[in-house]
Amino acid sequence: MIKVYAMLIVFGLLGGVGFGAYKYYTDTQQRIQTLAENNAKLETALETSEASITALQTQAEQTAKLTVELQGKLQQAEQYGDNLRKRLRQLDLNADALANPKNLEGRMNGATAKLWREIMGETGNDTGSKSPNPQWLQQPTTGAGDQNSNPGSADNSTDGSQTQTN
Amino acid sequence: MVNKDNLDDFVAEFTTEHGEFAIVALSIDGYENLALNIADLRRYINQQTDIIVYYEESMKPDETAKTD
Repeated sequence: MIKVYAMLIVFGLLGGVGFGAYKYYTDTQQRIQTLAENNAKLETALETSEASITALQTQAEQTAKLTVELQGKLQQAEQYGDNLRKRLRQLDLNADALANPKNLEGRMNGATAKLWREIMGETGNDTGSKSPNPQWLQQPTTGAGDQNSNPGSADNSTDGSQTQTN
Repeated sequence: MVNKDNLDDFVAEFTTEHGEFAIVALSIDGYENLALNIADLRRYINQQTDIIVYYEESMKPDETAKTD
């Protein structure tokens, strides 16, 4: 009888150990599967993060490049005014007006026409340099006016008394 | 361009053409100021254009990201 009890106890222990081993195995497999899934998710998240970082770096580089270009262009836009100030300092328009008003008027008209055309070109009118003189430059002049502002007059002359546009 | 030497001729020709002598005159200093102000307007127009182009370029989608 004692043997029977001993056998039951032994079988019970063996069964318990076997069940424990089975549970341990299945639980470990479950845990491995969960960890593998989490690892895959983390790898995907990492790839996404790296792609985002790369995109942001590219965008930052592009923005920096555009900013440098913009600063250059903004400074370039001031060039005309700076040149004009320098030119006006060099010239004595009062003396020129007294000495040769016709010549000065022609130069002024030419510079104005050139400026007009340049502004037209810069604001999207691609006919800028080919377009005729603006209407207000083509009015017949009186008195000391510049005769070369008349319609149809050539505006590429280098004569100082004529309208200069180039 | 009128100075003291051709003023009388200018008045005579202007009056002949227009009847009355009424003009808007600009001194040399006034002309220089006008020219500088127009230069300033031109600078402003060009700078605004540059800024608009800058923002347009900035807002463009990244071409390299599309191809990747």
